[in-house]
Amino acid sequence: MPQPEYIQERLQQLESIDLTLCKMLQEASQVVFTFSELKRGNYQLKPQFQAHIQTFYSDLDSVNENLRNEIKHLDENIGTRLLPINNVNKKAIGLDDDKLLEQIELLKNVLNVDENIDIDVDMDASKE
Amino acid sequence: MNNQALFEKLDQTVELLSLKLAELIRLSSIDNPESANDNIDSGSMNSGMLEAQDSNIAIATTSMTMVYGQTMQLIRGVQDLLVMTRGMREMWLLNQIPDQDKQNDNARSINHEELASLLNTCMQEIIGEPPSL
Amino acid sequence: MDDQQNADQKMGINLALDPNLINLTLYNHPTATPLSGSNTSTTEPTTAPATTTTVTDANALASSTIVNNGQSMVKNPYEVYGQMPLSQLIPLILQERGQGFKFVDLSEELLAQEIANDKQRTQLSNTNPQDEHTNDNVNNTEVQPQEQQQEEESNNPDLMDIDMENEPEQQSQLPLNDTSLNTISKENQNENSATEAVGATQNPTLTIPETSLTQEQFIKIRKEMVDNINIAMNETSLSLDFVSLLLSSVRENNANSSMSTFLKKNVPTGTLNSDKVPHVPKQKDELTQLEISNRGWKLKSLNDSRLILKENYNKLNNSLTIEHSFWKKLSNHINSNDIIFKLRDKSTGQRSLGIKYGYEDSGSTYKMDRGVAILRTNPTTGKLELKPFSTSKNTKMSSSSSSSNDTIKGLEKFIRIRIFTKIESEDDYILSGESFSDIESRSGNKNANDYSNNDDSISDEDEDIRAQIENLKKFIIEKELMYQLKKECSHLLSYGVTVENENRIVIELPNEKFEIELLSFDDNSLTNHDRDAPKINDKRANLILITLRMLLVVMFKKNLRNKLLSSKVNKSLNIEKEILLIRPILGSIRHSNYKMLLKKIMKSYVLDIVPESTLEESTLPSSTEHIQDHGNTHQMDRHIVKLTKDITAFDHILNIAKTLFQISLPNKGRITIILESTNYCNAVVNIKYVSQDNTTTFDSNFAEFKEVEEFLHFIISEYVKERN
Repeated sequence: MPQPEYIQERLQQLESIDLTLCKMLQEASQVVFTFSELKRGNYQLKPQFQAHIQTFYSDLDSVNENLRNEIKHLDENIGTRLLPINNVNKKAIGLDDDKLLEQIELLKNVLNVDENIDIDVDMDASKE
Repeated sequence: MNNQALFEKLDQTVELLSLKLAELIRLSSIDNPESANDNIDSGSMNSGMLEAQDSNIAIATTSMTMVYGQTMQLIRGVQDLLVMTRGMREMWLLNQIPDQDKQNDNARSINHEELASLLNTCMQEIIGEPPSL
Repeated sequence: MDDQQNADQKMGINLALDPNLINLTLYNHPTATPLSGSNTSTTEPTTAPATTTTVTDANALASSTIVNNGQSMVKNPYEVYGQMPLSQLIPLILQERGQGFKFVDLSEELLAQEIANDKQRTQLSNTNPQDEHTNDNVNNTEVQPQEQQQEEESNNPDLMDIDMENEPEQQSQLPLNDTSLNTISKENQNENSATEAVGATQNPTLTIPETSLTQEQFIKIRKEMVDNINIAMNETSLSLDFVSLLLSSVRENNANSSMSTFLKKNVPTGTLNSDKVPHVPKQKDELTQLEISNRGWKLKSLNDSRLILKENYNKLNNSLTIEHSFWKKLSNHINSNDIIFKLRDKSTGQRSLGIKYGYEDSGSTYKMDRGVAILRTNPTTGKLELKPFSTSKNTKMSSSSSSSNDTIKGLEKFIRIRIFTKIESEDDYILSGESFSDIESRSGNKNANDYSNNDDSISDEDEDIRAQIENLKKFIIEKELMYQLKKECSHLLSYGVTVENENRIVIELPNEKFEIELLSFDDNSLTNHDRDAPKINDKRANLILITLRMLLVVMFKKNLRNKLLSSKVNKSLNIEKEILLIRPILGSIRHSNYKMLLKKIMKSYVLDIVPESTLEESTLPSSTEHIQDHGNTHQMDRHIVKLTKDITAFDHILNIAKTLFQISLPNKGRITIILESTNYCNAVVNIKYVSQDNTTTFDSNFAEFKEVEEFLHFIISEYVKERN
């Protein structure tokens, strides 16, 4: 019973935000690395250094934008799809009906299916 | 109201992240002009330069802890945002309003007459004709 | 430098530490006129004599305001005169008024007159302030000692004067133009005189403001200015103190004279010293050494930073992968109707998600197991699994998380019903029917998967968690069913129902016995004859089991309805009325047995004796319970309506069985026999004899079948047979 598409999409978005966030740390470590190389005098790494800084900030930007969007989505759905308050206790209602329906089904099966077998069983039993 | 807090948190953290990287780089390059100066006229050293040298060491050690601090804050910021996305995920999955009504109205309605008659036959069967031995 | 310091000190700056000055009150208040005070001592020598002459006497008396060199920086008339006893004040006033003035002549009118004059003069001074204000000032000082109120009044012009006097020297400090200031202070004074000066009359000509500066603004500006002056003074005096202390080790006397009393009191002189440290220039190689180590540190810190970032990246990346797959699985198997919540796993102490599968919200009152499981990823298989979470101790005991299978197994129990038929000849029972478990098959598969190979189970992983939830739901129902059955049984001992042990109930009937057992799947009796040939009573056993489960659901529904009808929740069920599981079934069986017995009796005592007599049998609706009334009164709530409908479907089983027999005797009236199973298990027989002319001759109840026999015999022989 998977979640509806809309929610799957939200989760997918959040996941990609997570990954971008994580990637930012990698970029930062690259920035620091190239910078230390620059300090060592390895000047041809300058373009890389700048590129990593660029990526870091563009990642940050996209995270900002996407997360903002997701918060908006969340906002829009409170009250329709989502419970407004965090700790409202959802009630597991209707389980009684589930069980009843399940047992009704079972009852039908037992009553019907056995109708056919019954004869055989009777035959067997009568022999005993 | 809840989401307002999220927005604020996001703004704060994004700002923090954007600052921290710059800060990190700035801190580790803070002595650049002086050391460059040093290299150029290394012969003529006056007392002013010496003071600068002394403080350079101080800066180097403090900047080391500062760089560490900035790095940690950078990571913290990222983690904060990850916590935020996790919270949102939980909202989506744990706080869904159940659509019980829809189910109730359609397939889940119980056919009471059928049930009653089923129960009747069921009881009949259970009572059965006790085997007369 | 020392000389300079001394000079400063001689100028009197050291007095800035005077406590009166530091705690200046900044508003127009008779107790504080800081500006006049500070200015008189420093920048305005002309007014100083005027004030000092009048004040000297008072100073000697009010010594608290006097600092060491004998002159208070704060000329506070109230403080001086206000605390002066009349015996001293009156001579002073007389002295001020000049020779020949008698104190008796000093009347309110006179003072009022003087004030009016005073004001007129100040107004004049407005037009040419430079000339007038010194006069004014002198006048004021003359007026001052008259009375308290007037002191206050005169005080204000004084203040104003100082502002004016300062003007040439302190223009840069006072950007305000003097006329505006002037008028404001007059306004000020005016207002004060109106409110505070008892004897003074107000001069109406002064109430018109001449500039846009309001009094508040003025007060604010003045406050700022005074603040700044105070700060400056404090700072200078602090630095003076510092320098004095430093100096005190070399030239103690000079230092002492400029040191504040507070410092003198608290710090011994000569305790601060300074030395010039000769600066040794560093060697060139030393410097390069420093430079190198400096760079080394920087590079090291960068490297460290890089490593930390990298490490955290890897760590987060890993945990994200796990998280994401967890959530993905969760989102695939969980729907909006599932109750998922955060909880802390007691065995591992981790935060995790719990899922509620129990029936607590659907009417169950079972408290032994709340039906909560922890959703978690199995560390070995990486699959999502449910681990029943219970607050009871036994789960804590087996807290080792890896052996969760065992705890699950402990919970995986189902109810089996077996029917044994009595073999009369051998006085023994033979197994004639056994219920199958609808859970058995699935769970059997699951177990097989667990034991044999995990490869098979991966294919149905999608269904796995759902199936686990469903199974847990079934298990908890079975457990509760057994629990409630046992409770009910405690009242049924006299009807052949016994609780043999914790997990087994036996119901004995004349020709057979039912055995209700709660079994775990690894029970020996299961493996022994796993797939026996179907037996004659299998179906009945299954039907009984299903009926029991359904009756449990009906109990739930009744609980739900009660909860909706009355806000109060009764925790424990009334066993007599509310647990109806075995009794409806047992009652039906017993009723049927009674019926047969009764029929036999009727046959041998009536039908066989009275020719052409006929028997009619019909089921009577038993007196319906109070439940129905509730349903009517609360029909508005659709939930209650639904619940009532659901429950009503079970009426036939739940209601006490009642059978009506009518025997019509040709030409001799009829006998009506009603068999009712009160309390489900007992039998009460009501016999009515209605004669041909429709008169009821007998209407009596019997609890013993022997009596029924005798009574029927009596009726037939006395009323039917005799007349025949």
